[in-house]
Amino acid sequence: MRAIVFVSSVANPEEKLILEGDHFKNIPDDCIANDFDLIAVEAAVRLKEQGIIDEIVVFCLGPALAHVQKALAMGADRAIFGECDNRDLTPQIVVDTALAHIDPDDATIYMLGKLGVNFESHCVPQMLANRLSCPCVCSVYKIEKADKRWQLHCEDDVGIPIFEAEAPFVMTTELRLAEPRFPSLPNIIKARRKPIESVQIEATSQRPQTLSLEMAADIQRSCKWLSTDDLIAMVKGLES
Amino acid sequence: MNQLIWLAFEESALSTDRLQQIQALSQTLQAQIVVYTDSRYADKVFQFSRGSAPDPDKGLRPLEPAICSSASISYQVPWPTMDSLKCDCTVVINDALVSKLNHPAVAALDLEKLFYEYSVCALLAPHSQRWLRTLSILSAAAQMQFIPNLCTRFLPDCARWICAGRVVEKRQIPGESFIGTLSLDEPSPNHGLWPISAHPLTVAEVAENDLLTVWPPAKISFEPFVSDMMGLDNARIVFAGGRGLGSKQNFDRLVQCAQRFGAAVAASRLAVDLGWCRNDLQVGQTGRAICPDVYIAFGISGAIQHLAGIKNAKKIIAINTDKDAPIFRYADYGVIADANDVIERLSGALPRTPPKG
Ligand SMILES: Cc1cc2nc3c(=O)[nH]c(=O)nc-3n(C[C@H](O)[C@H](O)[C@H](O)COP(=O)(O)OP(=O)(O)OC[C@H]3O[C@@H](n4cnc5c(N)ncnc54)[C@H](O)[C@@H]3O)c2cc1C
Repeated sequence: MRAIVFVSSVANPEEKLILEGDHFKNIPDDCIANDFDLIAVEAAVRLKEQGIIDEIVVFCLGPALAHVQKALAMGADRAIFGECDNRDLTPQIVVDTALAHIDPDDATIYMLGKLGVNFESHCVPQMLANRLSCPCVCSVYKIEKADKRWQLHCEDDVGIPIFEAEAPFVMTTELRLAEPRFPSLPNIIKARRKPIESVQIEATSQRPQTLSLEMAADIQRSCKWLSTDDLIAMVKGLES
Repeated sequence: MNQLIWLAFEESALSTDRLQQIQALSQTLQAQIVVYTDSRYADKVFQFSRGSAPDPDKGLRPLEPAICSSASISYQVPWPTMDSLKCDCTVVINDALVSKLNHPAVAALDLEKLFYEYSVCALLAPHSQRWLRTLSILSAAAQMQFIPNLCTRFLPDCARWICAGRVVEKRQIPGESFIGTLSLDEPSPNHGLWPISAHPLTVAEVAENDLLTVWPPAKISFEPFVSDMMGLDNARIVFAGGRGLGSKQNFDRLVQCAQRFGAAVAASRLAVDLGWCRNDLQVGQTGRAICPDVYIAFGISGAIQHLAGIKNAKKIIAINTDKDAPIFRYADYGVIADANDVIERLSGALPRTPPKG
């Protein structure tokens, strides 16, 4: 069984964001691997440690090879990397490029973060599943496997769904699925020898639809200090 | 004429805040509003459209304004301001559709019918986990543009929040049909239910098979939440708990205190992860965005992912033991104190509100 994990580079939303026109201008060094994607890498590595997965392939398009190396150091076996500017990517291009370079088979699962923390587009996993005509199971926080069947426990705000599926399927990872490990030094060194296949992005599909990015209004407020008594009086006042 | 479909299968989707958003969008898109709902909520809509006399045959009850808030909280604005909020729309009632849409295995509405036969230009639902899941899969299947977290504040620009609410992405209003989730980010003066006008109201019954093809991607077991909490989306006052509360027991105390007061309860991601509450209470980038009049954060540090969900609250009050906690930078009022002590004292100071119903 093979797991293909998608990893994207994103401008760190907790740091200063530099906007230019329709894209983030943060330099590659300031980019981080998308949080949720690292969770997918970690989950895949754990599946491999349990003997459920044999091979982990990282698929990454973006400016930063460092994130590919990190995923390899965490325990992925090989990588497919298309170096490009994030501004040239659309969900469609990511999916087209992926499909041009992986050969889909019935012994593959696709693991992606449930959210890209920059654009929050919610498109790549869904489009990928659609193109592969396989299920897309979102927000998985627990994975179990018995025989050929996978049980995927999902988070949802209307209830608790548990999916049962057979490969191939696409799944997206929830925050609490796994805590990404810090790669050890020997693993970082070992990762340097792991194969990275370099690819070109498929620029056939249309360009990004974004017209512009703008910083939202500053949300800081000026805080007035209250004592507990003041607070209780204030809250009681809300009532009348 | 084009149609804008609004999926209103939760009470908060029929609030006046939502009505204003939908109206604004329908004007920009020059589309007619079609609301899909189920009979639970349709009753309430009918009530508005037919005046105050309840129709005993239909089992309609007079509508209580206190649907989303305890009766003890007064409204600053007369509720509802019906005249200013008139709206023509078609209401489609379909209970079978609800149970299907509520079910996570459902992947596809019969889009061909919707989008071509009924010339739908936009299919929208509230921005929440469930609609993100369903509609993102749906739009991929239909190869239609998906616009999550759409906001109406910048119309006629088609804008949405990205980067935990720190950035606004603007696009052109799509020339083709699109699917999206609508962020609730416009605090409006009243949070009542949708006063659909006395204007023509068509109720269309749609056969269930017209609308849905279920694409069961996999076998599924599904345990729906039975909600006993007050709806977060409509709430005027929200008490929110974070990891700083220290235990599930303390979180439960917060819930009791909130219920006593008639406030809704929200939580940070960590409180959810620790198993102190259900994840439909989570507020933030990966939860819901709310805009209550007053948001009181107990033991929440104020991570940007959390703030993404509360930045539009009118007043934010934070209680935290750490005077340097980031939440204080985003709060109107701050109390440096043990949140559990404050909850205890607050509970003691509040009169018991009689249970509703
Ligand atoms: C991609 C991504 C998405 C995320 N999405 C969300 C989201 O949607 N919503 C969300 O909430 N989080 C989200 N998070 C998590 C977020 O980054 C924070 O980790 C989380 O919000 C912190 O929760 P907290 O404030 O309860 O806990 P902490 O950060 O641990 O804060 C606890 C606070 O309580 C205070 N405290 C401790 N004891 C007491 C006491 N006795 N009385 C009063 N105060 C006390 C502490 O000083 C501290 O400030 C996301 C994270 C990532 C990476």
